[in-house]
Amino acid sequence: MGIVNMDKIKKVSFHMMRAFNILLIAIPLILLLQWLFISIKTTDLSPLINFFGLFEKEVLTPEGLVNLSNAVWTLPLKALGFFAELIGLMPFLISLFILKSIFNDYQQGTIFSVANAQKYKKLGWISFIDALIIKSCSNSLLVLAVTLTNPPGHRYLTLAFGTPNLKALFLGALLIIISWVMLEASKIYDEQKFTI
Amino acid sequence: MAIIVNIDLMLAKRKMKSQDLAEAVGITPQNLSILKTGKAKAIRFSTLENICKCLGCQPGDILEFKSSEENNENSSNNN
Repeated sequence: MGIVNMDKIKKVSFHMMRAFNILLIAIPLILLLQWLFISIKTTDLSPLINFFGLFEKEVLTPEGLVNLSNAVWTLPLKALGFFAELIGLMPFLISLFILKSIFNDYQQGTIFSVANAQKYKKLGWISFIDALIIKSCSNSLLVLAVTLTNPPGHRYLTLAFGTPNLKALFLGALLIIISWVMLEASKIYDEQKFTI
Repeated sequence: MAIIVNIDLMLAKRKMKSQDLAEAVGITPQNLSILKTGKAKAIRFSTLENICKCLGCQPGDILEFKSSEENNENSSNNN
């Protein structure tokens, strides 16, 4: 029975790693496409093409919601916008790398190990840093990119800390607690492994 | 480690192979090796009982306590 379950874990881990690989390529690619065609409106296209809200994305500035397709975009501003969003995505992409590594361990049959527990801890800290610093920085840069072509006095550099950040903070704390439980579990597993 | 496992000594006295002992006790040769090399963190009473039965000895013949000071002295004498 145990071996059957282990086989299932290995099979699921293989598929999960595949999914993570696809996401690691697809997400930056979608972001790049979004910023290459940032000025395109859905009225120019079939609504079917606007999957994932790829076009006409909106961002909240101190002057209200701004449709990115209506903003004035120069190439450096586009690059700034792209990098602002890429910075915001970095914690997620790094988390995907860590998750890939965790599932790679599962595929090798290593489930309760100190290394795995530490990887969960890393995920927790990434979520924490994302909530505290990166989300705010990314949003500030994006608002700056959108409002930089505005007349003087209407250009903004904002720093926001709201409920989305609290969710990530909660998730981070939860992951750190789970990693601690996993670390204790791996110690118990080691104890049992060396009990003859 | 303060607890020394003297299975090798007992096996030599009984002219018995590790493989045979592992089979008779019902543990894997790998686990017996863990026990012999002192990597084990604990030993079940049932395992100890089976080893004693197979080797015809007492637990004290297999397990020995050496304080860390004694271990240090021994190693410095060897040097």
